[in-house]
Amino acid sequence: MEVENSTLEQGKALAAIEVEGLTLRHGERVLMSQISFSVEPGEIFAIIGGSGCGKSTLLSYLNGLRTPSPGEGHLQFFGEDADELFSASDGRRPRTCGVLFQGGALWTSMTLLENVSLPLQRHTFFSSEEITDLAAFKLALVGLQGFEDHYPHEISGGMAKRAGIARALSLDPKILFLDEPSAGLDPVTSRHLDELILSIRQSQGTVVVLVTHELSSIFTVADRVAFLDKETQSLLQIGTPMGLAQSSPHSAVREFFAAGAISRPQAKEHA
Amino acid sequence: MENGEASGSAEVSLGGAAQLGWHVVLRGKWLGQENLPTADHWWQQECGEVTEGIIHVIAVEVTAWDGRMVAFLHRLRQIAGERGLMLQIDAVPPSVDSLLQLSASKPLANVAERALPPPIWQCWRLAAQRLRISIVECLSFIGSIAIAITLLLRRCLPVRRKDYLEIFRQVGTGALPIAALISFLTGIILGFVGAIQLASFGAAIYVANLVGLAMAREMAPIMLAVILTGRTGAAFASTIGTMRTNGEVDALETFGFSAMEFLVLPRVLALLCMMPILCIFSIFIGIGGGMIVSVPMFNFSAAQYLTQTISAVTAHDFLFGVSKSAVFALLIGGLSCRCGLRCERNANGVGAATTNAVVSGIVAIVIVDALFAAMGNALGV
Repeated sequence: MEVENSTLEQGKALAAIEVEGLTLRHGERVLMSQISFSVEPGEIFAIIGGSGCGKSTLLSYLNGLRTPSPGEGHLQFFGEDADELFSASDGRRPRTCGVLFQGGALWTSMTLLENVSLPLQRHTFFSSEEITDLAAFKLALVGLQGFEDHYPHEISGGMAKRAGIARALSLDPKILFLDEPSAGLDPVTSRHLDELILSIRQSQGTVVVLVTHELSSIFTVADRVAFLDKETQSLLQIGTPMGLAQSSPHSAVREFFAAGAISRPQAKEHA
Repeated sequence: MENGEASGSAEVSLGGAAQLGWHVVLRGKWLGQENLPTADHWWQQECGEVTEGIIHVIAVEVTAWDGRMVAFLHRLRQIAGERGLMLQIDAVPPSVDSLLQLSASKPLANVAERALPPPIWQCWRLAAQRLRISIVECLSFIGSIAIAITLLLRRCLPVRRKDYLEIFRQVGTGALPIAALISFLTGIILGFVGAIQLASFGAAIYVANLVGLAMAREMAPIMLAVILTGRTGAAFASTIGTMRTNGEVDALETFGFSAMEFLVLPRVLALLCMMPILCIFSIFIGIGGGMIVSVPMFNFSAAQYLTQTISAVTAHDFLFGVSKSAVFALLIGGLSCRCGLRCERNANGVGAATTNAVVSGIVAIVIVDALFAAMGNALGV
């Protein structure tokens, strides 16, 4: 109740993700220092930047696999402190954040259906028939009907990513994190994946945060883009994809988009 | 073809002077033979007087070349650069020139400074530090296993029966044949060794005592522990290590499962339940092995042998061995799962985790066995 009141007082909805002064570390090495941004409800937010600049590391901070050292930043999800959320044992964490890992990271000893139903078994009180139906429905949602009894090693990379998305969506999280969803996929498959992402947002209002290299994906799906720069170890710019591509004051950003100028026609269509 | 012809062997020569500029002239065929000039060697031999001025590189009558010529020039350019000299590529084949231009372009990223390995006299300090960290980690690992077990016993943890059954099968019945084989052979070996020695005192029947006591108190638990470290411990470490490398462990965490309850607990419990059972089985098989050797050798009957065994091996001895194997089970399970969870995320890491699991497992087993022997002696068990 208190949270609702304060929201009313502020007169605006709480940000889905609020990052303040976060320092990213990989071991001892600092990758990014003092980055701040917020992701609004209903938004598709892309994190881009050169290889090795810390995009995936940032994602691992956002989904709770790493926690900032004391004094090195602060994360909030819908107004709730990250520490509280990630240490909660009541299933709030997977209900808030669903994660698709690079390569899917499906549990190899389980079938696709078991992969999707495991989080449901753990965090809901549904009967096993209900769980099976729900998991099968999630698989159908990502186009994997009929593959329920397949093991992860029996399906292709694109299908594994789809299954990973189905698993990430199993508990209808408020935020979906996607780590390079289209890396290593052919253009048609990655286009389908983009459409899937858009339709998930449209149907469930899920906030999507994705890390990607693919300019075509960025223009197709992202509402806003954050550009991480390795040289300055900072979040260089946040804006719409078109804004960054056409009129960025930063040469690193312009260079990034110019290198993929071939995808511009799609961008116009989107705009 | 190889050398000796006019344009045959590769040559490099130095000419000119500091004021006018130096000339490095390449000649001949830089291909298909061994022992082409190398830049560092050649520089040392020929270029002692080159301390200032511009160096011009000219390739004259180079009939053929491979990567080594480009590498020679690249290295030469580096050497010149280190000495503050200017090296100018004047006339070389165009493709060599373009390769040299490519290799001279700015590196993609600044090379991060690697931490130097610490000097040797600081090694003990680092080792002590590492030991302290690993002891703390070990204790917290044991603690979290204990917490997970209590939670499980209080039925606070959901159990996926299928996982447990699969691991129990793998650890228990899967290890049965090899456990049987090894303990049978151990019994036979003990039987032979004992028979030869004891027969010379006319005390051949005491072979039964020797085999029975040795199997029950020492051989069955320790042989079994070694087998299971190699078989099951290695499997646990590599499975969990690979899961970690693939991100599956991270995926578990994001869904609110702890690796402890989901991966470690079933494995440790499976070992804890199956190993004492396997140990009892091994003791009997080992006694059988001893009997098969000694009964035909001397003229006593199987019944005599068994009676002698029963009178020699007390329930204490039996319990001592079986409870020891339960402790070994905890050691193997805990160590191998911990090695898997701490695995570095690459193929080498999985290999190292597996090696670690087996080596530390066997060492720990022997140490704990020695402690048990000392304790058993002190307590008169």
